[in-house]
Amino acid sequence: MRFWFCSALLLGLTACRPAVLPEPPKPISGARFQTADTQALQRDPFANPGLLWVDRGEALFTARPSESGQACVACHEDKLQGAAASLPRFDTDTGGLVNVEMAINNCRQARQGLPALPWESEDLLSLTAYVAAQSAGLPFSVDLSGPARAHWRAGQRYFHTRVGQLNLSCANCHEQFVGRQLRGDTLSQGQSVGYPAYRFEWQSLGSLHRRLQFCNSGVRAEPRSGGHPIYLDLELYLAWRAGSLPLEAPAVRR
Amino acid sequence: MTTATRRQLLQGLAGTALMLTVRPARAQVVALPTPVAERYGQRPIAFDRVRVQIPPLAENGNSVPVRVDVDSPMSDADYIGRIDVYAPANPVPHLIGFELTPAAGRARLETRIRLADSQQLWVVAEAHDGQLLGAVADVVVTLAACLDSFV
Amino acid sequence: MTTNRRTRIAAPDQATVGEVIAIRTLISHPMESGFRRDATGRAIARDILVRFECRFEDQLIFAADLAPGTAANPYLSFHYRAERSGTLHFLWRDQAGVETRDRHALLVL
Repeated sequence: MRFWFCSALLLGLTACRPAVLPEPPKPISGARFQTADTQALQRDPFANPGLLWVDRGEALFTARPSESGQACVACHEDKLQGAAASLPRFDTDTGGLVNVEMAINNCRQARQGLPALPWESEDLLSLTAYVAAQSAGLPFSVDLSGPARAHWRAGQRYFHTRVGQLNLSCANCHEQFVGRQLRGDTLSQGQSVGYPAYRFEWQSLGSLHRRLQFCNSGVRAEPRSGGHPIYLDLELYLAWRAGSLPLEAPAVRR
Repeated sequence: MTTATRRQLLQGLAGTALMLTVRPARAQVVALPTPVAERYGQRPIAFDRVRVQIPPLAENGNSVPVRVDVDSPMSDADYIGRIDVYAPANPVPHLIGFELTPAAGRARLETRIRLADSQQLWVVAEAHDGQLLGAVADVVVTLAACLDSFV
Repeated sequence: MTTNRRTRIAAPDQATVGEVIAIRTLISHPMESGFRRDATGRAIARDILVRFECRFEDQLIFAADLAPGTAANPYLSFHYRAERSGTLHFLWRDQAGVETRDRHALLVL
């Protein structure tokens, strides 16, 4: 009798899905894991190298792309303040997640008659940096209801899945060993609030997906292409995981 | 002291006014490194008027902030005309050179350099009359955790 | 020929006679050292800025000779003793001779 009772209980427990999402771990920005000089450089409203891309992004945002075309700012008079904080989101038209880069390209194609910009191109980085900077200081506020929930779950699952020849999951470094040394680096929580970010390693501004590719190759897993569905799922999960951390793009990281 | 503890100690110290670290006027100068000797030969270098500020532990060797301050009135009669920065362990040791004029008003400048390895940085300033003034700074450059598999 | 390099200049708009002001400059440039290799192992060709000049009108104030050891997106901070109103001219020249220019008007009271 006890056997059947325990089995039923176990079955019941495993079959249950939590009605609310688990609490994200107390979020700490990656800025706190950089040296004081690097943190000061990020805060410097002049010398932060990422601002060179924001400058270019602003120019692209306000310039008319062609004689007949409209500038982004013609529709987006508010300069998309706060928009980046709500991305990625589920798009019913495409049936998948859309992040800042994809929203920019969708708009270019649908409303400006322009071709999509390639991933990690200077122009797309610049526009993404500009749009992300318009949400600086705000926390992520992504919508996880409805179809987005399955993507959040896929991102959460990936975050905890060991991959690559080194057989490490994101959680192994960025939850289990936060604050510990990995050669010369102190492991951060892997928060995404600073992206697109200027990384000294790249000597350039780069996107979150480029950082995820770098993480994959770091554990000797096959990197995916920018915009890959699993990276989008992960991006959504990371946005939730950031909790109330303010967005700080363009961040400066090593 | 293990690397981890040393880094933590340095980061703790670095947490406050990192860029104001002042190098002692006569920090352990052993011998002129080759690029400096080749440029200046036997000319004497005084080590009491140049101050170099640089983090003792570089966040990343690709971009290390450095500030140079030379004690000089920068008048028409007495000014610093040239400041050069050398990293002897780099493939191209001469990192950057500056030309100053009295109109600069102050012999203080700041830039960001690349360091290929841990080493002793050399800064040599030349006054209007050819007098050489120098300073050195030791910088540790560590390897990143994960190396990029592609550019 | 000018480029589409982004430049940033930070300097006061106004100064008093004899005041020493700080000037900060930033320019977007990869400063490709020539020592990096691509995914196939081929060396990536050197492509760097080699010269920076700041003039007040025609008078040279400050200049820098840049090298592969200068970090990407070069940042330069220096000083200038303001004497009279005029324009500060900034010039960056790369190894091929291509120039990027910027300017800043200074009012001296």
